[in-house]
Amino acid sequence: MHGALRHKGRRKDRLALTAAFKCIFLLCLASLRAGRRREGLKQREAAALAFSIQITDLTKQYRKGPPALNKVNLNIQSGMFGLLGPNGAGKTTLMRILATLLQPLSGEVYVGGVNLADNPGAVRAILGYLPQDFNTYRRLTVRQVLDYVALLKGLDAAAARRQKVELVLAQVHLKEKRHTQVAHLSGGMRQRLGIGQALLGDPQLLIVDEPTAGLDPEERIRFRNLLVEISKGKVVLLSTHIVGDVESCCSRLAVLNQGNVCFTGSPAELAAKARGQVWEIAAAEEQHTTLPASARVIATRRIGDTVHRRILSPMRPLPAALPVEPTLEEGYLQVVKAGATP
Amino acid sequence: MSPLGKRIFQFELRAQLRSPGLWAALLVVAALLLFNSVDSWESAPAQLLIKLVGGVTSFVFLLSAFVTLNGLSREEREGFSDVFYALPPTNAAIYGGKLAAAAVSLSGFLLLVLSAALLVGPSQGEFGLQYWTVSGLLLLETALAVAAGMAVAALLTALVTQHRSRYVLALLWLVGVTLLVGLGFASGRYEWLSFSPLNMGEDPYFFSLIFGFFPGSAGIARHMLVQVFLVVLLFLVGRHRFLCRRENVDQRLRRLIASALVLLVASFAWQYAAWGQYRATVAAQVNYHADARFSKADSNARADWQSLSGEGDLRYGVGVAQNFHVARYHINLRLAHPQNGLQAEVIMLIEEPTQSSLFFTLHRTLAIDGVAWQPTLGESLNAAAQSANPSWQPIAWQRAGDYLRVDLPPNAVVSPEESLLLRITYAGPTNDAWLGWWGNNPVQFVTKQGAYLQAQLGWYPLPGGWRLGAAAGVMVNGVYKAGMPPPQPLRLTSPETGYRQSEFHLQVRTRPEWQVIANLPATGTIVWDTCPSVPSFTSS
Ligand SMILES: Nc1ncnc2c1ncn2[C@@H]1O[C@H](COP(=O)(O)OP(=O)(O)OP(=O)(O)O)[C@@H](O)[C@H]1O
Ligand SMILES: [Mg+2]
Repeated sequence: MHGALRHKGRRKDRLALTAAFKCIFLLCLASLRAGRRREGLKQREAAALAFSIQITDLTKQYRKGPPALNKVNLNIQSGMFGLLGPNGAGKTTLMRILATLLQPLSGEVYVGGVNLADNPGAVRAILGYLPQDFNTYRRLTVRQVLDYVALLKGLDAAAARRQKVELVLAQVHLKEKRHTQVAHLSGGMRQRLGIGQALLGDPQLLIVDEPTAGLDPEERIRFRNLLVEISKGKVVLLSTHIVGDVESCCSRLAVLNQGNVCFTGSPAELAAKARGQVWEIAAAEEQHTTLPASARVIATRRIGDTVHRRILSPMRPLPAALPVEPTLEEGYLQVVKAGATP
Repeated sequence: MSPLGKRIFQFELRAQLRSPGLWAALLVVAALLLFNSVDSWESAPAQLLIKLVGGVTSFVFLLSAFVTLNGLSREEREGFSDVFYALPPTNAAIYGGKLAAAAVSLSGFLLLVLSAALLVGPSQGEFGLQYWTVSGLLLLETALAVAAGMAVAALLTALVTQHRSRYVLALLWLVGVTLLVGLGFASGRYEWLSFSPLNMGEDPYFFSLIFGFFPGSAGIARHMLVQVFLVVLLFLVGRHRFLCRRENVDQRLRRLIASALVLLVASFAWQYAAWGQYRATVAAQVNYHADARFSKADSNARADWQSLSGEGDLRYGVGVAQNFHVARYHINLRLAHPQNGLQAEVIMLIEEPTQSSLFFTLHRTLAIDGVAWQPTLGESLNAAAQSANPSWQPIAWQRAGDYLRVDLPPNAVVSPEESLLLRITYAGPTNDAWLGWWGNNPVQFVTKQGAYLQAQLGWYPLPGGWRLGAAAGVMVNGVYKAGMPPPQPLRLTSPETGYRQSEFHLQVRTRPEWQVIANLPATGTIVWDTCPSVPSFTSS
């Protein structure tokens, strides 16, 4: 009697156990299937992308402080697009959103007609990204890092991958350092490695955040030319503080200030923003003149004994001042100043 | 796994195998296994294995969490995360690959446990089913500890952005689980143990595995079930947090989390109900703390150790050398009475009592009712063992902690070739007894199905002075299986004492369906007398 009861209890235990294990099995199966379905979808959509970026009313708010991006509207066509702006303007924030690393508070981003929020995988599949401070696995060699990134970008065939890595090594001038550990690279070399990994996989969308920071003049020029060369038919988004970089290679640019876009257009249009507001004064060195409060000295050049000063001012600062054709930098300063005052 | 997930898995596995952290973790666990084995090598093989692995699982849990965290936060540590997370692999590929690599590298822990099992059993000549069952369960337990560590790591990675704080939180998690288990033990709520993957070596499961006591294998299975659902839930919640951060949350995932939660609650409720039944039946009956006899045990301890102490060295477990030999024990035992846990009448045939003071060791919670003697005068022990025999003469005795001194009257001290009979009656709790801040020290372990009497815990008067139980570090040495032939001699040997074996006659009166196990010397004959209605003792 006792035995029979106990036996029954055991059987009940066993039944419940089997049921529980079945549940676990089904749980695992369901989650696996869901993952596979999503991945397939992303790849199909990536192929359908055309290359322009449409940003509407994009707002990003960090936990503290004012919005880092405030209703940003931008239309970026293929070619090189420059992003200018003072420190803290929101350039990195915008680029991190485009690189699918940050989620905006509101607004929409379409990359070639695909909504970024709905399908970040499609954007990652065509993206090359260089963050503002690039670093990577310290213990690996330059080649190993590039090889791993190439693998993750889908370069499966070993021979093709090796070829591509060698090409990129040549492009960023790191061929001799290919067997050096990342930890032993100089800052500029590491930055070049960062550029190199962004170039791998022929990305249709290349986002580079202050890529020329830390590069020597020779490397900077080499990099600019490289960008111009590869930007055909692709979107290259470049942020920088060095106006010269933008001037020499970008067909279009935007100026961000405090999360607002205060200018979009070509470099010539930006320069034109300061037309009629840039003046030059040539004076002997010892001559000292006081300028009105609204005027700002932008550049000082010494030719022989005379000092030439370029001045940004809404009106003629001194009777001797002559109006001159503004440079891009002056246009930028004018736009940022105008954007900050209202 | 997706192709990209496989790439990440391969890369991560190589990185894990190169990282000194993993090897340090494996070394720590190997060292712990070795250390535990030195501590209790004399135990029977199955118990030794439980001791070895049971003490290691908490470290396995923590080290698994650390190794997994190390893999998951590799990119953050190196400042590579921005680039890495903007690469094509999805979250599923990244974390799937990384977790799979961690699981593979952590399987080294399982290999260590397996090699311990393959070493201990065969080297001690044990190939029985029980041994391999225990080995299998311990492997499962270790796997669960690894899985729990990984789940906690995954959850912490999802919840906490600071990668350094994650390690601290993993450690705090272990502390929390340990506290929960401690509270469960202190309050008798063993079901709480199920929230920790670390308890195979703890009393309820230990005794279950060795003797088939409650909660039995079903209880162990339920514990593991709770663990599995907990691990699944932690992983799912972690995944949910990740998706919230970077991708869209699937409605299906929410449903999965809800079902895992329901399953967890259900399995815990199942375990809770089972232990609740235990509390309502056995524990209620053997709970002895409020009983008057317990305070009597305190009053028994009136002499201090100094007044008893003779020669001998406590360091070797010998307080007082024995100066006599107990040739025969006649133990009349009553167990699990509703009020009194254990009642005993022990009659000893003592040979060669060359001094007037006899020293015994008897667990401090067992309170003495009286001590009496009579000369044997050629009578057989069995005839004299009639407790109503009028020739018993009470004599003086003193107690100090676990020690008992009996002072024989002058006429009882006899020549070396003669002998006398000594009768000691005592009673005490059958379950945990509070021993101050040193912790609980059970005289016997009692469960729903029976009692296990451990000689090392001094439930009968041991000749001479011994350190008992946990104090002697022999808590589980010499524990034997139910149904085995009478066990081997006690492991209370020491170079200082010429220990001679005694003959035992044990009569246990207890509830009908109870199983009683004792580890008495091999020469003993044990009479199990399980009468349903127990005649009560007549104490003198
Ligand atoms: N993780 C963060 N948490 C809180 N606030 C942030 C964070 N990152 C940036 N910010 C704030 O957002 C604003 C925009 O920062 P962002 O990094 O986008 O500027 P930036 O244009 O890239 O500047 P820089 O030229 O110095 O790189 C700043 O005010 C900054 O303080
Ligand atoms: Mg920046």
